[in-house]
Amino acid sequence: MQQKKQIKLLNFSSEVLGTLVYLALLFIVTVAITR
Amino acid sequence: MNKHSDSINSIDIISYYTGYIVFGAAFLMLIPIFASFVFAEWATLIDFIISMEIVFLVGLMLILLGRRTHQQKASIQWKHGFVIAALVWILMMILCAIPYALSGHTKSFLDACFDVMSGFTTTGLVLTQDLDHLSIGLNVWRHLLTFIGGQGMVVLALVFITKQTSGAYRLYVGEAKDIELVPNVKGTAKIIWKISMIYLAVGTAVLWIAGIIIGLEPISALLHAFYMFTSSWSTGGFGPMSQNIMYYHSLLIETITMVIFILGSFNFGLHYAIWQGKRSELLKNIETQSFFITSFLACMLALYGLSRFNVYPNAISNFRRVIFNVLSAHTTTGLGNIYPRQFALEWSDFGIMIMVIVMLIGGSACSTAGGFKGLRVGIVFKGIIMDIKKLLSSERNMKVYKFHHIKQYILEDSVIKSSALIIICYLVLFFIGTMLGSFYGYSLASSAFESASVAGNVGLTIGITSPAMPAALKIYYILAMYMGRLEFLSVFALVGYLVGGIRKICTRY
Repeated sequence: MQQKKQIKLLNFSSEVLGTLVYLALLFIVTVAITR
Repeated sequence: MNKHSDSINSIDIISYYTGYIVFGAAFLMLIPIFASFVFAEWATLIDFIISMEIVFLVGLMLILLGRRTHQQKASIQWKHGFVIAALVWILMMILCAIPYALSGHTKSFLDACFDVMSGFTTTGLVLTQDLDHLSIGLNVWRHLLTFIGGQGMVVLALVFITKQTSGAYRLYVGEAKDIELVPNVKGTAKIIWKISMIYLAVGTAVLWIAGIIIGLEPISALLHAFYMFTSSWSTGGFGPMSQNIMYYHSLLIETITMVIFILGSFNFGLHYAIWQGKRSELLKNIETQSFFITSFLACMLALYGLSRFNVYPNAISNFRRVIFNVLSAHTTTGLGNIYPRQFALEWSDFGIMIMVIVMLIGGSACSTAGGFKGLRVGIVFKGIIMDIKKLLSSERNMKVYKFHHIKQYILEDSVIKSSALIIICYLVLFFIGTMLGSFYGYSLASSAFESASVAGNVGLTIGITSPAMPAALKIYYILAMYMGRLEFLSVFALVGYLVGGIRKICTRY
């Protein structure tokens, strides 16, 4: 049960993490273009 | 005789189910009533009690009018599903506008209806005046409407109200949602609400902490967290203050809302697949691929275009102003951290053009977002590539082309055709809006910006939307928001049903 919950939490956070990575990529490109 | 009894039966069914959903709206008013009671806003409390009684009576009347449906256990046909969905949205707009009108914050009842339709369709354009002094009860109501509109009123009704599931799928499809997460449509509706409620809890908690960090009082921070979460997750764009998200002057809150509205613009099917462990779906899905490509290109083009004129001095301001607004437009959220006229005065025609394109593309199908959706863009784009490949290959080549959207689908001509038709409908809606704006004397760029914003259910404004704008434009914008949200089919079904009814009456006499 505990393991199942951990897997679900991991799946949930991967969605949020994926979005954060995309925003970080956009920020890096923004820095590059602005310079 | 047969035809006559059939038409009575249809009216009974439509009336019965519409009444049930309207009934639900009366119960929803208990939430702002509770908020008004807790914060001792007695005038708002009375406004909501009056509104609740009216909505309750209308719902009861409709149920009684169609009581034969229950007695005869009549089932919903496709035409009923579409007509009920289209009718419910209009009726709910009128009924839910009563507290707005009673509050005295709107210039007319039309303005109140405009704001409710803007909320339900998750657009976010505002005609309510003196937003900074709005009661907590009414602010809770505005954001609640956005949250419910984002998930779908019919979807909510399927979870809580409708007991029987026969014909439920027809109601569900009528509200422009067609993905089945589990074989049972009621189960699908429950999953959609479960996903949203989990994000509501997590997102509000994170925004609450951020609010306290930037110096808001804990209670005020909690309310603002709820407002900003519902606006972001539902890709709505309402803000509790007239300055929208600019009120907070916080990069932290802007970044959190960016994450929430990107997630909110994803297909509920995608959320469910990822939560089931299919994490690679985030990269394989045609919708996310389409979103990442178009949003990345749009951000880069806007950055290049604006940096040529040195509009923003450094990387941080470029990220906060350009990236935030382009993503807000692309996900059809409409939260804005620059003043409306800055688009017209600083962003140049090139910047406005980028915004118009991304607002029209929008987010994902079966999500809270609007626009003609990344799925359709991806399908049409793949269809063009497929046609080119077919032209260049030998006639005997019978290769089957596929696309990935939760599972593998064959790219058939009928799928490409239906996607292209919906895109054309959106473009027609956009062009008529642009023409109407130009007719009333607004510049072409401004008219196109505002028209794309209403057709795509975005909510960013260039300054046209105001209580002083012509009434005809307000009515067209209400229609555009409504048609854009329901993706045309249900609205066409309602019009067809009404025309058919009128024709029958005319032939009888």
